[in-house]
Amino acid sequence: MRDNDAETALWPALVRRPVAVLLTPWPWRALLYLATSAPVAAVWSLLCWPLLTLAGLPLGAVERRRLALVDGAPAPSPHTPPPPGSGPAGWIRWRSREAASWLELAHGLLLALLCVVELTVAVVLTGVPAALLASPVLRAAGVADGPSPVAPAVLLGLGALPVSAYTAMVLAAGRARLARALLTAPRGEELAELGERLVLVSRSRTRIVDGFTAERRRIERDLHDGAQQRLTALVVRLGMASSRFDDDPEQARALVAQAHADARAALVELRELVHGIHPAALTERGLVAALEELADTQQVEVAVEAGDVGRLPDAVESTAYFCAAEAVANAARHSGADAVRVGLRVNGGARRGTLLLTVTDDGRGGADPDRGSGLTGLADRAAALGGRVSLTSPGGGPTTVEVRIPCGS
Amino acid sequence: MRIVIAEDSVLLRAGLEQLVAMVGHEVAASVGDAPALMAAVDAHRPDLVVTDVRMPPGHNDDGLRAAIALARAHPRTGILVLSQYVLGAAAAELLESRAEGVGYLLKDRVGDVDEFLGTLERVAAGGTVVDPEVVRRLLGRRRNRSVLERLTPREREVLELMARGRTNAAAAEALVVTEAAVAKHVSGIFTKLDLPVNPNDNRRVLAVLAYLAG
Repeated sequence: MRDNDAETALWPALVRRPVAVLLTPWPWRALLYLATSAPVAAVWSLLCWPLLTLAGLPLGAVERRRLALVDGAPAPSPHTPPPPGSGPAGWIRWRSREAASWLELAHGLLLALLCVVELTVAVVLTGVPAALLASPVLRAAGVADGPSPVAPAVLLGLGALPVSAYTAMVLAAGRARLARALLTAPRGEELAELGERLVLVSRSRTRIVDGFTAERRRIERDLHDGAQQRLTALVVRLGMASSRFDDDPEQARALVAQAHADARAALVELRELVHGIHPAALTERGLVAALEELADTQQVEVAVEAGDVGRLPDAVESTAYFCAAEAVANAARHSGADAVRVGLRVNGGARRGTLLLTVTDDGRGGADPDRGSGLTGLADRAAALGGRVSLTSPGGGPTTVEVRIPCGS
Repeated sequence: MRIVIAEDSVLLRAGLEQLVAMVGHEVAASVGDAPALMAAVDAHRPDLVVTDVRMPPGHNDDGLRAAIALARAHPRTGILVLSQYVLGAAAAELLESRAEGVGYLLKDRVGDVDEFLGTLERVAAGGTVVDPEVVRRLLGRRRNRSVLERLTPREREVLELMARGRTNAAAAEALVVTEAAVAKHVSGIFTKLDLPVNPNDNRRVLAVLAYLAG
């Protein structure tokens, strides 16, 4: 985690023995860090107030660099780049809307108060030991006088050195922590940020797929409720007409019968079309039933071995179905297989578990994922839901396609 | 005959009402969703229920669920399920709930008016009717294809008519052959499938279907 990494600079120095601490640069760096707060705050308040609410931005930049004194490296910026193509006005709007900008401003106001304390502390921590150690010289020069003997004052000064060093380091560490809390992203490391973006991307991708699935369902429902019903009613009406044609002009009857047949053919066509968009079995009875139906209509022998997976989210069901359909079609088309086995199970609960789909054929193997778009399309479908596809296909077979899809996606 | 119709498409529901009224049946109730169907059957005790599979409230297989519940609760009411698609699993589930007085048909069949009206009568009278498409699908399975090859074309026709719930006499009429010839084909089918010959018209449909679905 970033906090631990960032504080490696001061904390290990703090646990050293007094003499060893004094030989490291860290007490000096800590003092410098505390002492420079005041000039930074002074320059900022004099120069940057015309920036109004965005005044925190330059201060944040300086303060994050100043953290290098105690952290060893500057802290990363919490700001995100504005969308491409937004001009200066867009940049200002973008920055004004960022929480980070306001936190930087808050840090500036806090700094205006704290810097006085910090400067005082820095002066006392250097001044006291320096004065004690310098007392023989001062007395000799006649600058100071007093009844106290010289030797104890020098000893006291030597004792005060590590006390000052430790105090400065602890205060600087605390002060740096405050700065980090206000001036860096909650998990400011680039890696964490990248991870966060990845989460966003995969979420948006899931939304896209959800939208896709919803669209599929909508098309399917529209066709089901609209055109299909219309055609069915047409078939009914025509059928009634033909059964009531008592006046029988033979040709009219034949025409009606023809229209009847045409309408029915259209219905069959429409049914197949709809099935291709989203199989009815998937909607009405779920993934296992749909896979069994798929198996029934294949040229090769397809056995479905499914555990009790129950109903899963729409997107998961349809993605798994179309992955299976693609894998089975590949097996039938390319591998020369006689038999295909489709396995389906959920590992770890239907809500948060993973759906595991395996399609194994007894064909010749040697499938190359880089050739042909079938397997790539399969991987894309799965990847869109945060799933993965793996292929094992040694020469001579068997070929196994494994698809893993998180159910909670 | 008193009929309760359940179909969520208003257009098709009106068509069905008109169709059964045309030949003198009484439409006891006509509803658009599964709970209303259950209530209507409890209230009217009809001779026959005609229901769609996909209906509100779930828009999944609500109609089929209702049909199965009704088949168990009302043994004297014939149940005919209409579906936009043929699903072997759905047909099997319906037939498991009751062996007699049930039917599972593709909606398109309503267009074959005379055949459809005959189906209504057969199901209400306790017959079993399965859409020929179900049989065709089952025979299309790879492991059943060898069976298909063993059957003669005429035997396949008889098998299809059997699935439609036709008796030997009705099948003979449809194929324009003698009843004895049909009986011969039926026993030929049962011999080729290694099934014991069952004189009961409904049971034999189930035997064949169970064999093919195996």
